[in-house]
Amino acid sequence: MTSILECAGVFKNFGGVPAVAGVDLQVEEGHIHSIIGPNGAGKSTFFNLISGELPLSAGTVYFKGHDITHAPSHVLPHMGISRCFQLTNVFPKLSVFENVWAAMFAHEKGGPVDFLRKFTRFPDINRKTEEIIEEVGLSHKATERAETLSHGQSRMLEVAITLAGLPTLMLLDEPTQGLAPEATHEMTDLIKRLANNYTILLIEHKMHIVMEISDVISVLNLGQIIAEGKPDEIQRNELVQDAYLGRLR
Amino acid sequence: MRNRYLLIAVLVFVVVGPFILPPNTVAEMLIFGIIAVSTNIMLGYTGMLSFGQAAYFGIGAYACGLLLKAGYPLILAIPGGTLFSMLIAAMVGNFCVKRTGLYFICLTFAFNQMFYFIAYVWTDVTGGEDGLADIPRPEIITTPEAYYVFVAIMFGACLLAMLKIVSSPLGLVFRLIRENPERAAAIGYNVGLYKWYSFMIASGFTALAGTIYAMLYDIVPIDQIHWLKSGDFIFMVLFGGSGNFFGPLIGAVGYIWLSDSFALIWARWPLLMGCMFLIIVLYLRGGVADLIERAYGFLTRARRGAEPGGSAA
Repeated sequence: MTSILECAGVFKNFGGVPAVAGVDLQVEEGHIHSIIGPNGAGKSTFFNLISGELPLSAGTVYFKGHDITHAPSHVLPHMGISRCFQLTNVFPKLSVFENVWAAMFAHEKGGPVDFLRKFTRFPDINRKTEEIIEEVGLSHKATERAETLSHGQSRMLEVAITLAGLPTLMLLDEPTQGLAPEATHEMTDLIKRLANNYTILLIEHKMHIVMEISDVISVLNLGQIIAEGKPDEIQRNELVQDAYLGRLR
Repeated sequence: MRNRYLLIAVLVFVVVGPFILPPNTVAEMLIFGIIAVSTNIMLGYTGMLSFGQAAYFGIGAYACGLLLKAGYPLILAIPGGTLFSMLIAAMVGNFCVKRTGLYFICLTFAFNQMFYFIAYVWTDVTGGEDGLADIPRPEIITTPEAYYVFVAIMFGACLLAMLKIVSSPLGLVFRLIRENPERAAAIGYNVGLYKWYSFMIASGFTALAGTIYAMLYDIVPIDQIHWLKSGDFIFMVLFGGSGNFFGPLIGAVGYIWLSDSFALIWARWPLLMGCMFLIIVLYLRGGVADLIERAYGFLTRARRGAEPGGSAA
């Protein structure tokens, strides 16, 4: 097993307050690697550091052996990293099809001439876009504007856009946030299916999902990794229980 | 399909227009039509409000005028003027697109004023306050009719080219940036670069319109490069409707009609324009194009409602 993503000593200060305080993390290829931790532990900040949304204060990030520490966010999708956001972050006035198509086009386009060709001249992208929309169960909404979708459907679209980048590593930031039980179930199934083809780094709050689908879990507390291991190891770990329950020592 | 009908409507206007209104007025409408539609590529499609488009219009007009005065033929003067203006736009745009919102507006505005003052003080070349006068019209388009045909052809070519751009993947990328620039970057688009493309495309067509304008009245008045002119372009877009490709054309036609024809009847016509602008900003955010669409939708619904069983649709 080789590690696809390697973070070493990742540090982020906000005005002198460390949000992420020296995180070392390795994500193995083909794994679902979950990051859990109490609110404010620094999980989303850590994601933003990997995906180039925020600059690191210190540390390095390697993806497939390439240093991506200072790579701007628009370069990473071309290297094979694609992320979905905690708060739904789509293109509201565009159709579901256009949302996904654009993400795929960013990756699959050829030369500059492609930018001025007709949409019908991209049968491959059109077909793959339809497949992804079907995969997330939004085929019946393909021509609707994204702003007309329900919360659950928007979350699915969010994942579809992430998938359309044809990534090798997917960063999923709380994909089930705010979802009803039925929709949560669908999303969990989807992530499990995706795990066959992608490496997934997942932030998730719903413990039963994390325990069910993860290969490895890292626990973040106050910006530091306090435990790492298989789900059953994490469940038994006393440090983790302390962090979550706030037990005094 | 809808675009096809609207294109036909535009074609009808281009053909019939000079028989109803003075050809020079219609030519001016078409020239400003190019500018309004191109400004909308930036404003309506990419979400960038530039208060400096008059700079590229003016530079294009001055450059073309100077080339014609120096004896260069039309076939060199138009591309020469356009490319020169685009070169300036490329440099200015490079600075401007690095900032967003209010700061972007301020930068475009500041550069516009800079070029205005250059034109104002560089009297030997630009004619200063008097404007660049005595621009010779090339022999091939000396008569008003020939000039109008020339403007109409240029207008048609520009309109088709811009329609092609906005309905291609490039147009989609512009809309992504308008909707959500952070997400556009997260899926792999270099937002700054595409904003620069949008800036260049808009400024390029505006510059081209400027070169054609230089031959309209054989003079480039200094106020054509003033920032107030940039404001007029924005007014045309908002009046016509920024949500529709053809909307800004209505704005350009309306504005030129008011300033050329209506001004003769009532000298205080800008007062009327101000009131209209208020109404549009307050009640009609989609401009006249949106009003027409809503009226059309209302009429079709009313007709369907009158038919038995039609109201369900």
